Amino acid sequence: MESMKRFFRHAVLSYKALFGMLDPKAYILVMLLNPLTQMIFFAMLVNYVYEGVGLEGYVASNALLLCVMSSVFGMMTVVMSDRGMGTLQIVMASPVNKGVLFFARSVPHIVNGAFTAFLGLVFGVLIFGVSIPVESLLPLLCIWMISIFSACGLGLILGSCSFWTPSMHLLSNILASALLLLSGANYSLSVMPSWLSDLAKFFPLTRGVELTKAIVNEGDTSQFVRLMSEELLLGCIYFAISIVVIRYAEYLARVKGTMEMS
Amino acid sequence: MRGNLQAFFKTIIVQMKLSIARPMFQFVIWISPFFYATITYFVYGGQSPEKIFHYVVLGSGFMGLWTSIVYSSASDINRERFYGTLENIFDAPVSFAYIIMGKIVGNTIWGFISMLLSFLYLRFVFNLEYPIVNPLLIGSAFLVVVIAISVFAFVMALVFTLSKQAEVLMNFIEYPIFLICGFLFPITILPTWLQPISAILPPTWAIELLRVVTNNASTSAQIVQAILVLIGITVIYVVIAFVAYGAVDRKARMDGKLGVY
Amino acid sequence: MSKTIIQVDQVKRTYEVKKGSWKKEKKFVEAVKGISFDVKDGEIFGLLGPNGAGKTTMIKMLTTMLIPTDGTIEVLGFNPVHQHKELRPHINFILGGERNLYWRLSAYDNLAYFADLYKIPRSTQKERIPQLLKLVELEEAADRRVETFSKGMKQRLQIARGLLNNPKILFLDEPSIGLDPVSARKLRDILRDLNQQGTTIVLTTHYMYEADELCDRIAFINHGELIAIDTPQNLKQRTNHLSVIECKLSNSTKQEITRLLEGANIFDFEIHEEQNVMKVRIPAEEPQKVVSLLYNLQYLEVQDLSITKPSLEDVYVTMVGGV
Repeated sequence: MESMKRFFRHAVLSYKALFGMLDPKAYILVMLLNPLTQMIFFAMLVNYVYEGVGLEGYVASNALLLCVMSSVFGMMTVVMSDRGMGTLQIVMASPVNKGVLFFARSVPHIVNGAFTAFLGLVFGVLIFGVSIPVESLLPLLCIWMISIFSACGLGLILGSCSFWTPSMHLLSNILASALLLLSGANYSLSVMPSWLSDLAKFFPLTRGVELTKAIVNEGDTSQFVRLMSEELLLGCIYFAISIVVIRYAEYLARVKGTMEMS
Repeated sequence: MRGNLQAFFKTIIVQMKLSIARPMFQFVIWISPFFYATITYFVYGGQSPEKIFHYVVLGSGFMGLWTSIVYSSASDINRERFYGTLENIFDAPVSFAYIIMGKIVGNTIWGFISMLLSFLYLRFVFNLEYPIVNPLLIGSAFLVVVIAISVFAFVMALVFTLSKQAEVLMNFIEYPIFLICGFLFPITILPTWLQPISAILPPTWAIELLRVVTNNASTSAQIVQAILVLIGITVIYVVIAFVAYGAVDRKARMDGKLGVY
Repeated sequence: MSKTIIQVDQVKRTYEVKKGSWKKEKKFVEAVKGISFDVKDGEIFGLLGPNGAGKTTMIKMLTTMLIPTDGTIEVLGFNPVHQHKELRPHINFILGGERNLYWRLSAYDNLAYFADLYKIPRSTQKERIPQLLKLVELEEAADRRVETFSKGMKQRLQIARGLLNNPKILFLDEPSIGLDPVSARKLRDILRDLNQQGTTIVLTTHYMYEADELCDRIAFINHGELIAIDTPQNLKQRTNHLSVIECKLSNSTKQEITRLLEGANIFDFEIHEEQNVMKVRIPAEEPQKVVSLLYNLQYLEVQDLSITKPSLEDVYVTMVGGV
């Protein structure tokens, strides 16, 4: 029980300490307003090109994609902020299990991502006048939580690359753009060349978008179990890889003394 | 005058080197055009070649151009303000205006390079048809576009110099401009209350000019009209620039508040 | 005879350093070249040496942050290389400087955060954190964000952080860097009290007087090697035969004084200029001879002459031969 409480305490405190997007004005501007402009732009685009066909699905998919702010950029701070603060060595040399630690830090970003996505959905519905069937909301919540969990896992892997490369700004923007491209939020996967759509299967959010469109446009939940188990598995693999990478970075630091150089 | 011009050209070169050294800018110039172009192409997929050219090719090219300008001019002012050098530059013997303009032109050139990259990418990877246009015509059109966009960016830079608040908005006007100026779709689909705003923004007319010029069905009258409209709006912005510059001068030298971060 | 709780045996640490931006040539830097010593339970042990001597590297190896390239270490019976998980809960360390804290959090929250990292139960935290804040005189600032703290306050908070898990051994790396004299003295008082309650303390410093005042035993380190290890008293005895002559000379320049002293075969001395007066320090085995020489030299005006016993710094400089 104590460990559970500690887990959640760390989740909250680390969000404050490392991410610190506390000022309401800044939060609204950066985490909400900016992603919304992206969503509105793409929704208008697909509305025009597809003449309104499947609009609900596209609006919802673009709303889901808004989680990228947290899943990529927010997750980066989980690993990188410590270096900026100078607290990395102390954290790494403390007794707590690092896998549990970094997962605890990821939780607020998963929640934040979901919050942004749902807010986007609300705005999308209001602005574009689309209707989302009420019975799809619960499955949607489930799909989105799993997809965002998975996206955060990939974000953590990227964050752990920060031990090796300084070009994190570049990499994170590439990942964010790649997710937008590969997820198919604005077109069906069939317009992509097959090698690209195959590649997309290894990325998060692709299945989430597919399911979102199916449920919102047609109420079709037949693929739910299969796709979501795959996405959940993918997310777990991502997190596992990132923990291994972080542990390896810690080991390398002890052997080479590289953390010392920072 | 000579000193100013010399500084102007020097600033262009220096700015180009400085900007491209920054990883974020590298992303904006070398990498994001491919994402924009690919995503846009997938959306427009089976549409007519003309539509594809106007919206996918020109549109995504403009997205890259705009991002590079916004990203650099405002963040440069911010950086100078942050390092406390804003006042120094302002008080330097060479006119501030030439320095800012030099920076803007430098970044605009990079923006056009990224636009060219995206044109080549779309042409060769997706085998798109590009209309054949009189080189003189397209060349002059591009020249007018460069000037128009630079003037607009200059005005924006002045506004950012004047107000820290306005600068915060820099981060958030990427997608809104794509939307309002009709890069990827015609402005006619925008709500009526938004259309007047589109009309007063130079990028709207800039991309419209390029569309008219590359449309083989355009009449000379239409082309001339498009050029004149863009020149006209550019002139208006030049006037705004003078006024804004006066305000910046006042704020700097009379209020002494230019450096307030 | 108290028992040994840290054993360091022929420990070496080499770093790979890449030079140049084009042709990256690998160079090897030997930060620690084969050091052995031990630390007894309940003592305050000092590692003394100039910058780059290898002190920080040594501390990092003792605290599990770095793996030695050779040799063995045993801390509290654990091997820091392979048994770091078992060792970490029993020790803690404080690095000098202002970073290593979360500036967005309050003092209390910082301590709570690190307490969680050390798996300290919440109920214990609720008691211990206020106690520690009181100890380092930060009670009133408990709810203020660390970014508003002065350097001294941050350093004190660091100490509180270092004590969260009631460590058996507390390691400090250059703890007084950048501290004003009052804060530095407070720090020394806290460390002394801690030690009296049974905590073993290992610290590195290049402030000689600090080591002299605090430490039971001191090790001199330079260029990655152990030069000497003993109590401050014994170390000073080694240069007991030396006296130090301090005097002020006016009406002469540094060059003139240097020329005159060297002309009299005196080569070991220091000259500092202070407000038009030259302060000269000369270690000498036969002080009387030097004194009479000074008074006999023409052109030198001697004021305020004194003969003293060498300080730890003099010992160090003599033994190590300067940086």
